Amino acid sequence: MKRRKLATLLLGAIMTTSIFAGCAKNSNTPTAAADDSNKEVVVRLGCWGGNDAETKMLDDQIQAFQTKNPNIIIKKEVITGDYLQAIQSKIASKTAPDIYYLDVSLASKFMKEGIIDPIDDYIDKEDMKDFFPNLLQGYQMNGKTYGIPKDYNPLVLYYNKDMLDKAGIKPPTTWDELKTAAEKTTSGNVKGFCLENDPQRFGAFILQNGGKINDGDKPAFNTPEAAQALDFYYSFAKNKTGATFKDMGTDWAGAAFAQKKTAMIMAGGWVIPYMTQNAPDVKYGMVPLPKGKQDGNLMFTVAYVLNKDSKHKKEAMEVSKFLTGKDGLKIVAESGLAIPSRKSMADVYTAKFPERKALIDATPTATVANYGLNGSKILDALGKAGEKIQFGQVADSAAALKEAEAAAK
Amino acid sequence: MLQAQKTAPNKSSGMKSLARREKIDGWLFIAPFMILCLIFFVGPLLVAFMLSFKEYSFLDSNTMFQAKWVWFQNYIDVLKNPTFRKALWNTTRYSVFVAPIQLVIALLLALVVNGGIKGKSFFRTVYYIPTQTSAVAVAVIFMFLFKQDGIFNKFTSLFGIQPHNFLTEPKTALPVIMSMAIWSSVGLYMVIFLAGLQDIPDSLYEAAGIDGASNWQRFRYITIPMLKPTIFLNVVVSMIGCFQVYDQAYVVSQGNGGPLDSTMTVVLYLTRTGFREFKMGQACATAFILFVIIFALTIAQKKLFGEETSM
Repeated sequence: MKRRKLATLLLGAIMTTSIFAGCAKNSNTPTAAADDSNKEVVVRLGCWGGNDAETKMLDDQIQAFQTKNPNIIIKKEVITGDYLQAIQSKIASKTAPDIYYLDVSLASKFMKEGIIDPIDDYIDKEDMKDFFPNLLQGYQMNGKTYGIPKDYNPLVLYYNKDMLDKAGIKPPTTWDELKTAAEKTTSGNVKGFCLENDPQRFGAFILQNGGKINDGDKPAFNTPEAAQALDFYYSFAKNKTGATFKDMGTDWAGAAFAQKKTAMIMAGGWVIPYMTQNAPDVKYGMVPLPKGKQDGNLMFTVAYVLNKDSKHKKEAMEVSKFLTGKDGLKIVAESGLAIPSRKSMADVYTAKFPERKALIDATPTATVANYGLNGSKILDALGKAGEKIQFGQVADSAAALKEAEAAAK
Repeated sequence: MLQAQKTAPNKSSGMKSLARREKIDGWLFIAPFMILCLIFFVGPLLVAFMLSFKEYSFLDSNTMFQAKWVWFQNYIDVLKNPTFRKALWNTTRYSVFVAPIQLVIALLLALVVNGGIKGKSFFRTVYYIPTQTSAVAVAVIFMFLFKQDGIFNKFTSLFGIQPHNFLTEPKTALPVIMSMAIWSSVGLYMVIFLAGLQDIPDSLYEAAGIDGASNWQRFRYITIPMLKPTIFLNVVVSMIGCFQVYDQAYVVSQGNGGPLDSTMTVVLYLTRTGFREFKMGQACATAFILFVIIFALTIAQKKLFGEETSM
């Protein structure tokens, strides 16, 4: 009897502890390493999974860093799925990486909540002047800098060379030319211009018409300028010279472009590797977005930010400074996957990829895609407004924007 | 005499300690599960309940316990929110369609499979396999089937029906999700109905046959009443599952509940409020509102099926 009871106890204990063996222990640094005479430090880098080419690019950068700094070990932690959800859980449980990717649209919230540390003490002010100022501004609050942008993408107009040649037109440079171009390239199942119910696309038109998306943390899109811009954008759907990529039966604009279902799309540089892989036969070009009353464009960027709970801030900043330094960004420029955030690297990029000059040209007049603390609510409300206009559920754009403003408050 | 005195008390205390030992053994056996349950289920439940009365987001620098108390404000805000109301309406509509259809098909399948056809095991397996698939994988496949130039549209165009883009039209997006859910969970309820059917004694059917009952009368007066506990179980489980629909809605709408909020379900609304709008308190409040709704429905169903169930 006693033996059986002992066995039961033992079995119960083993089973219970074996269950917890699966839980990874997340205490940051193994203290043994810190006592090591080599003072090896492990810096955890959080990133999202990209396609194979992106992964290779980051690995190349990490490799270049490790050869120069053998006693700082970079541990890459790829977050798959919903990055925002995953990183929040990590932050709440104090297991977030030392440095991690932060999209500019989330920057305001993270900066305000103090989850990331200002990095002014670690960076060289002179060196910061090499970065495009509008990119850096996205990560600055109250005069302090919180992140170093690593690369960016503005929107450009991609056009199918064959389709435009057949219609006998040049790539459009103004709103009117865009309208004509879409009309002339629409035939059969092919629509001239691809639309998206995404304020991060039609927002560029709002900016070009002199409107705004947000003013600090408040929505500022309920204006006649914005309504006019949306009327123009969705006129393509009304006149059947354009359609959303979903209506074309695809997952995103790039797929519609690759499958030759549309002649023109508005997107960033991420289309390029997709086209190379999926539609190498499509001849296309890139031009800056057509101009409305003024130039206007949206720019998306990602930066490395510093976790305020990191135990190795100095080493972590060494890593992020290298990855956004001239050597680190040279790797990015040469891979062509994204545009390096430094002005000095812009020439390296255009030297290797002269056909993509449009991306660099678009940069000075682009507004970085930071919509303030209420950003996701503003984007959601605007997106729904776009949907309503597309489905004809509202009288006109002005009415949709009015409803959206109320929802975003 | 002394010996008897010695053994007698030992015997009775022996019985007591045996009972006690069995009790201790019992607790030890369920200890691993209890510990897991407490840590991963009861604990978070209590914390979520507390959070539903507070204002909190995962990005806050203060801990959950230091967060500000807002009492019922979260609940009021959620109930007033038009997106939540749309989500609740969508979810209710979804459940009202999916649950009955699921159960009727499952019952029919169970009757057929039970009816002594050849290859009974084969059909049982084949109908059950979809329940083991990942909801996300099913959603992706259905999206492929129902897209503008997908197989379903190609099939209907044979009959001259115009191709619809089922997933981008607000009226048809939710029905696509409904069909997904029905397809993938019918097998589960079929298996439960099968078990219930096999419990019905053959003698009842024989007696009915002698009395000259038709198939329909046998079904109506023997099968259904004998299946009442099983039907009750299936209705409750099905309703609970339907109200918590999330995976399919997320995949089909790419996370935003579109088009025009037609695929916004309560759980999708909850995750968006918590993780995108950084309002964990409201998200927790939504979870408990959903709990109250499901609980009320279950009680109502119990009353409906009432006396006859042995539950």
